[in-house]
Amino acid sequence: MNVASPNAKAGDRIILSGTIADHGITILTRREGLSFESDLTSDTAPLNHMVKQMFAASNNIHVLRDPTRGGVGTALNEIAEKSQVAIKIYENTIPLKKEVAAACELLGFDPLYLANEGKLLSFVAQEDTAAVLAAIQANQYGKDAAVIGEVIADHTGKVFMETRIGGERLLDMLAGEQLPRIC
Amino acid sequence: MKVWILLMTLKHSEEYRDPEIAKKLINKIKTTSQRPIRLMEVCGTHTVSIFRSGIRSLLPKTIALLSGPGCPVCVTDQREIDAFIELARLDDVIVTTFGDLMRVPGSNSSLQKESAEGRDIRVVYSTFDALEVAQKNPDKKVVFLGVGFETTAPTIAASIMQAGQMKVDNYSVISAPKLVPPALDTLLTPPESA
Repeated sequence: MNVASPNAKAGDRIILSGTIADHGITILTRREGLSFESDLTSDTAPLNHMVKQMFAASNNIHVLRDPTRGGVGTALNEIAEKSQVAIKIYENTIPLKKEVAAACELLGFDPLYLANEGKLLSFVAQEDTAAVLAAIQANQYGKDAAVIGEVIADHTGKVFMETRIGGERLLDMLAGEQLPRIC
Repeated sequence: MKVWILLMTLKHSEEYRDPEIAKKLINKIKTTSQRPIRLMEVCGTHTVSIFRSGIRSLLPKTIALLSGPGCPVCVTDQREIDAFIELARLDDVIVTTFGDLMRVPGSNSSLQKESAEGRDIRVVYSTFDALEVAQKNPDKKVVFLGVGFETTAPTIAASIMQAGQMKVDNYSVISAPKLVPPALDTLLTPPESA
């Protein structure tokens, strides 16, 4: 099965295997110069069994990606560009730990662009979404998995997000690294 | 800073993103807004919030959002940026700064470039983190780049007071804060009288 980035198809549902930005924020909190403590740990995890379970559940997985450096936002942009489709995701469906959300809020980071280690993004034909989601959730590293969006038949290569208050926002590629801001 | 403080921050900010309240307000704005109006946000945090929440896409055509007068970093004089860079090039100096300044170009370089070339430049999240760097590196001179608006100036001043009380004598601040009212005056003065 070819699950490379150019294979996303219009109508595909996008499944994220768990909470985002845990790794990025954990690394930041261990750095000198950041004065808050938390019990967060990196999400580093082996996903080979999860992937095996997913393939057993469906023959219609079109793309698999690890949203590591650059986060979910960057990975989705790469897939949209390479597959020549548009992607729409929904902010209120994206799994995010409260501590991570709060740290991001305080430091001015966008969790969508922070690194993950033990997470995967999968693009699955609509009819197989429930089966693949169940397979991921059955794995110990996929309990928080959720469907976060879909692929739209539009060749722009762009990624959009419906925000929690119902607005629409363009999710662009991350340029350089995110820096904490004062203004 | 403990996690519970972070969670309180989150609770506070989440209240502003309540979808039901937002929906009601947007509907009210749509029915009330008759004549064209332009709203200008003051600083970058506002710009980012508007962008991240997709507020532009929710407002009627009568309302235009403008960015400016900018952030204290963007309006920092190039001479000051050059001075920051020269400081970073000194062997016995550790420069501490908020992250925003890293990418701002000076005449020939930027702090980010200098950092890549091995200068000791550390991004901190508060002035007290800068003070801690000074405490941990008594053989170095630790300089904080004091850029900010009126809201940031007191926290910079507090770190100087704290350094005095703790007798940390290798901590200094290069003072370069900006005032908001003069920028607003300029913006609100009709062009013919400017």
